[in-house]
Amino acid sequence: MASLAYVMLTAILRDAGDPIVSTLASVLFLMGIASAIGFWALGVPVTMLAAEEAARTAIVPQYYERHQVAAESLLEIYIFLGLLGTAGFGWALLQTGLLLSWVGWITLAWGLFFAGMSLKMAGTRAVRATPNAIPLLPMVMQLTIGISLLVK
Amino acid sequence: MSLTTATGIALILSTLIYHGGLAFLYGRAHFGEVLNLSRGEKPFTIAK
Repeated sequence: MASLAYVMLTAILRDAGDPIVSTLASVLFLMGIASAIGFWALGVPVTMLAAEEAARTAIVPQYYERHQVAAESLLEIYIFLGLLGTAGFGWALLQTGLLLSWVGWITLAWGLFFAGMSLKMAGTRAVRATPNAIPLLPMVMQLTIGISLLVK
Repeated sequence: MSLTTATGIALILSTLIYHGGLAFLYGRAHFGEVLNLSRGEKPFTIAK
């Protein structure tokens, strides 16, 4: 549903005069969503298999570590691309003047700041031990944009 | 309904569904605990 909403937002921003940045932001977000789907598809079933095997043998299977690293990398890619997309939408909002400028500035700052943070923390233990492991950050600003569109 | 209104509703609904789903998962017993475990410990806790 988020991907549909972003395509709709892109259509509005294109009509408002931004044909490039909003499209690129939307593509980044869709690529990020594909990565998130990959995380769930790769991470959850393998974890369940590893849990069953660990219960039987009392040893964590060797493949589990490698699969988890790959799955968590996909999640980090989703967070990074989603935040870059968020920044792109912020830029497009500023360019078009579709919403109040503070919405665009906050969206742009939110995306750039947390994209930088996620890049800095990528692959470290810290990113997995904090709530960043739950991919909330890329989708926070869409609530603000959605409410702003409704009250416009 | 205009495209702007529909987009606003779609953005809000998708956020609420996504975050609501995560809140539901967090509300379930042991989910938060499992997230904070090391990779070596996770399978044993899930198996229980």
